[in-house]
Amino acid sequence: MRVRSWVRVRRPAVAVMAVVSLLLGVVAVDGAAPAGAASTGTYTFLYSGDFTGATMAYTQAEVLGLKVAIKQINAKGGIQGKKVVLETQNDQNNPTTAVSLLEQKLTSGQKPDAMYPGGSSEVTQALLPILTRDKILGIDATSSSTLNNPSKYPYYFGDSELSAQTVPPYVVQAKAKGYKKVGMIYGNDVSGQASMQGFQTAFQKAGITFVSASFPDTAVDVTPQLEQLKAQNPDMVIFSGYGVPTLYILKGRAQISWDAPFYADLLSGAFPIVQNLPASSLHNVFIETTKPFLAGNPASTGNPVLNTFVSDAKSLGGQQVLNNIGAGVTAVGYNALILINYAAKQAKSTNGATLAKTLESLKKANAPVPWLSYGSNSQFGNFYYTSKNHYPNVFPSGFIFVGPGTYNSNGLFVPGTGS
Amino acid sequence: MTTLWSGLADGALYALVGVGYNIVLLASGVFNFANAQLIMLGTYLAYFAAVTLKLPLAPTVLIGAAAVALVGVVEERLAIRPLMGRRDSHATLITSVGVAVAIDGIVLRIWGSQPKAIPAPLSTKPLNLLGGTIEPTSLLLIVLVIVVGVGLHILSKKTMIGLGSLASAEDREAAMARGVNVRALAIGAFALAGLIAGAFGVVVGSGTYANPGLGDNLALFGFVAIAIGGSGSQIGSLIGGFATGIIYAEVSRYTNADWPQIVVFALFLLILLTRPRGLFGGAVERQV
Amino acid sequence: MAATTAVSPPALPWLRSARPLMMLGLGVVVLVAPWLGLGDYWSRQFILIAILALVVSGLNISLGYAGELALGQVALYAVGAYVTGYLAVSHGVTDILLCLLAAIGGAIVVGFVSGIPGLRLGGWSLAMVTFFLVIIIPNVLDLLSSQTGGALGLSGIPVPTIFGAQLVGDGFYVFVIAVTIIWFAIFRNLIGSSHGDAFLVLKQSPILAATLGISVYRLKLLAYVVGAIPAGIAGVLFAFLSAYISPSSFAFALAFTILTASVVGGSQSIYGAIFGAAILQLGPERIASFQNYSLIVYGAFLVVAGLVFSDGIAGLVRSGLSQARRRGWLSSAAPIDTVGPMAESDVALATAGDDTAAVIGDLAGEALTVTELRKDFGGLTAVDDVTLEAVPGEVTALIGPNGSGKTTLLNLVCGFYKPTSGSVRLGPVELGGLAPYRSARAGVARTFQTPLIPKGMRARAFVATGRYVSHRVSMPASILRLPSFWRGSRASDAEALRLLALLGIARVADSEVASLPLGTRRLVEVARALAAEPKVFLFDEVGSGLDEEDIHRLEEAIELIRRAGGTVVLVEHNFPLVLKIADRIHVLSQGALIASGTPAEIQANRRVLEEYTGSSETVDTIEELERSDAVPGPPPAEPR
Repeated sequence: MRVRSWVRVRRPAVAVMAVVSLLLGVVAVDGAAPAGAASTGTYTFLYSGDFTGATMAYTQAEVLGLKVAIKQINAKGGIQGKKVVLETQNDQNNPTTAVSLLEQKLTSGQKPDAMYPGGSSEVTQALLPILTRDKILGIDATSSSTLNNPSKYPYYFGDSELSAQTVPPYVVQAKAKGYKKVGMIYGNDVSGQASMQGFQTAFQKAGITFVSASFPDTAVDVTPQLEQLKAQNPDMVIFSGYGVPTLYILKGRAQISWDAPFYADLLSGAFPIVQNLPASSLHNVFIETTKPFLAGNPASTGNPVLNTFVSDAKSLGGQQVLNNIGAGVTAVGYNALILINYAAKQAKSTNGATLAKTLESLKKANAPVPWLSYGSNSQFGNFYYTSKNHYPNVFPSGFIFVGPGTYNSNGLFVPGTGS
Repeated sequence: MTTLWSGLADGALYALVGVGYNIVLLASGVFNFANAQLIMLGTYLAYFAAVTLKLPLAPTVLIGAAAVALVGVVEERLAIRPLMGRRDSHATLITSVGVAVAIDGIVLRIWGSQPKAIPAPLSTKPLNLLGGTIEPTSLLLIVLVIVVGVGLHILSKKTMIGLGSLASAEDREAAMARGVNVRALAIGAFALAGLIAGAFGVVVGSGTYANPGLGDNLALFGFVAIAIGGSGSQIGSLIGGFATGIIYAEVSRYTNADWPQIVVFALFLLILLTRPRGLFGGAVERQV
Repeated sequence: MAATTAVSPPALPWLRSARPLMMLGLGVVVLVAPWLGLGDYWSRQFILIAILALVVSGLNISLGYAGELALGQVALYAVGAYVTGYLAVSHGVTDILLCLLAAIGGAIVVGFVSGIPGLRLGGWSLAMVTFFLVIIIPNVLDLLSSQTGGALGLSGIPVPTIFGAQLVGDGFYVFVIAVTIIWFAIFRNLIGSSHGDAFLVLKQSPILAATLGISVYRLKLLAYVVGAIPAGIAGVLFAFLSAYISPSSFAFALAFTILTASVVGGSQSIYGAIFGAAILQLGPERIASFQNYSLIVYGAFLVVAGLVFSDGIAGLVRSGLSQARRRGWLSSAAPIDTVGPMAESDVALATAGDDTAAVIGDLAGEALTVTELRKDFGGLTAVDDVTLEAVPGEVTALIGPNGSGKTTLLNLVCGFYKPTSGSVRLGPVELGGLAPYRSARAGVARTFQTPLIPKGMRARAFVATGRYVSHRVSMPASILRLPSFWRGSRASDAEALRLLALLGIARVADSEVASLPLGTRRLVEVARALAAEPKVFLFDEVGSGLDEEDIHRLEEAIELIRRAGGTVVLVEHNFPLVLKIADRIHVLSQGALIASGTPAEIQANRRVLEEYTGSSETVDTIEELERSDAVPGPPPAEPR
């Protein structure tokens, strides 16, 4: 039947069906709630993230990490005897949606035992008051210093370094090379601005001149901003952009034949640059990566926990994620549950408030520590939170600058030859 | 000068989007929000043909043009035609955005969220022109967009098809009464917009990379191009697009990220004072 | 016999009058829902729906009623939210009533300022200006980051208070629903008054609005500003609900959601905003559960929503009802005949000598004096030093071939053109150079060759719009339904019915004017002109396209006006009609006045006949003229 007449004739019927199914959907979602909250036998971990937007790749990696942790933990009987179950919600990086979805779970009696409250600071910021109100334990990798507030958000912990913590190595590098002026080009969004402020503070403190230029996330070209920086003649340039803008930056740099050393910040460095740019554009470009995930580095080769992690990830079908996004991001999801498990063993409880207190006074673990990211003997950092600090302690020695490269089949970073 | 070249190259892109909007607007009075997504689709198809299938340039362009033209025709049939002849309805705005969102979703599903590099049709060694650098492919983009824009302008003003389209968009019933085949014109317009979007896939994509956010970004700029240049005029799109590109580039050269948009807005308001429908606007927007 | 095109009565008429009560009842139920077992999740959903419905209703005023695509609701919503956030966080102001006041004030200011450039220039410009306004929101917020928190947003918005008491949980819910109910009552009272009708007129045609004496610019601005109020309110509620606001909540995607909700609910529907908001709030959240396929499903959802709801929910109901009727589930209402011959009593009334003055009222017509009026368009002289006069109690006809300048002359009187030189006076008042709405207010009433009739209006309401300016009921009175509103609207309605009856078309009082046959529509326009109690009537080709029956009725109507002392200017092609009813005829050709006189004089004037037939041969009698097919229509009656 032709679409037009079908539409006209059937419209009222379709509309009725649409409204009914919407309402049924509403009822169904509520009705299908598995009975009761953390029902006695399971430990529910809720992951809230963006499954369809620009940060989709990070979501995939973090979820994979969580699944690896769950596999390992459940194989040993679960957290305090409770099997861990993963639930996910697609908040589309929208704070209001994230809150609504969580509220829905809470009011239908499906309070999670712990959760990963969003992949961006906007979402996390919106969810934290609820976590505090309902005493839900939350761990994620949103690295914004305003969220590191134990008095306001006692149940929330970060399991990835704050951008300010990733900065010192750059200052060290600049000083070592005798640079007098450093420039930065960054995306004018929350993470870009945070990153810029971190660098600005650090460089100014070190007495090095700092200049910057920003571009909107919607830009399709950043050559004018690069020109703006180039005119000020910085000795070294730091760049920050999530996703395609990183490529635009380097492409533009090549176009204007600017050979000054370009350093990616940690966020941009995680982005696959190499397969999208010719080697000539990558000359004198560096990214900051961490030794525990660098292929061939003793911190990675000598870590049995990492090896188990990688093989478990592969067995769960995560090969593509390891190849494209790397083990480092995946580990962020993994660490969240491993830390909870560790705290639960120490406190002999799965209660969120109790665990939060325990996390602030974790017993030191012996090498190899059960979590990843800062070395098997905590040589580059640790998760020993305190009542004043809910973010990991990170030592500059863990960072290293390498040329842009790719991830090998184990998800470890292999620097390219372009630098 | 390099900044000016960047401005022209970006402007060409915005103008291309604006031209695409106008093709459909001029022939059917409908504002096709999904046009930017069609261009994005063109870049993905260029990736598919050139990288996945490793085809040379000519077949890549042809495949892109044909495939996206087909998508345009499907869009017209499903989402636009059932609503035509319905005066006073803004529903086509909604359905065309629906198509745009669906295309975003499909692209994400098929190719994932990582950007894809597309080999440039010309060498990547930057040219030194008039004191500034520009990539050869960008220059090609500028030239091609001007050619297409001017060509379409002549087509719409001088040929029977063009005039028939204008009539049809202005008053559909009257045009039908005069024997203008409005349905064919609408289909043709969507097909043409898709064809152009697809054909430009390589030239556009080698600069922007095929990435899922491209559609939304371009849509915004295309809108701005039309706002400045006036809807319903191909020359207006060209001028509006290039002007926007140049202004953005020049302002970005000297200030931070918030100002370019505001400056363009201020300019737009200024233009409105003297030319209420944009620099060259004057035809056709049924919806508004 | 006039064509009896059926005009169906409004569907389920009882529904119309019961609707406000039904909606109020529903509102009360929603208000007390928490005590009826509504859980926290659904309370929150209802609050979100209410917030969206408020913003959508603002768009409905500008889009559905004033006909302007104003996409800037999001910006006004953002103003409301950030004003609240700023006051609450930086200044500790938590009183929600204070915040509402400040937010509404802010929204009105921004709405007003942003409306000006667009409104003066209309449709497309307004859409573009408001679109721009939305996309620069993040830039402006970023530039003002010390007050707004920039990209990171404003967090820690405290709990709202009212008269010192905290508004949390159920208390906040009740407040939100109550505010929403109050707003929709205001909205409904406004739309359901002469102001709503004025908006509809504006939407259909700014020209018609000006002809009614409405300042188009001011009314549009009013629509836009009134639409800003609910957006500002919604912003306050949202800020307190979320305790955290950031630029990402106010992106272009939201503007689009609002537009979709408006269309789905029906842009011209009052309560449709709630329905549309419900669909656009619940739908996408459900769709998020499709994870990787969310975007595709959402896209499909939008396409289907656009296809199915293109007429809004009201359109669907109508479709549904007519389908039901077609299938015999509902009885078909008997079609109403349009216009039968005038009832005997009406004819008696109409021709009862001087008593008609009492029936139609004394029209107090003034003389329209045109003195050496000239209008040049570039090199073309459309009106060439024309001097003529139309006096009260007479029908003055203006005839001439196409391009002779008749319509231009009318437009000069109405104010759509400014004279190049010369003067047009209505009584003592100089009309030349006045804006059309001022000309109308000075007492000029005009009908149009193609009747300008708004869609969705009943005849009695349309006729009453003639009195919108002269018997104006203030907006506050309309909103609050004060006694002056009831008095005014009853009086206008009664007058409208009286005028329709006078013209013999009382039967169509409740029919939608736009669907009436041409002849009836013309008469309705005449009634509308009469309602304004003007000093001069300008009838533009009012007889064209009518059959015998309708022309006869028209003649009677014009006769009524003449007898009551009105000044009638008739611009006509229909020569026999002119000969029959005109007291004085002026003939224009190529902009210049070539002859003036009584019908008999004009009929005998060779030059006139030459102009009409274009022939150099003289024609002796009008009968010869008839035979030569130069003049349409049956042989005229004896000239007076």
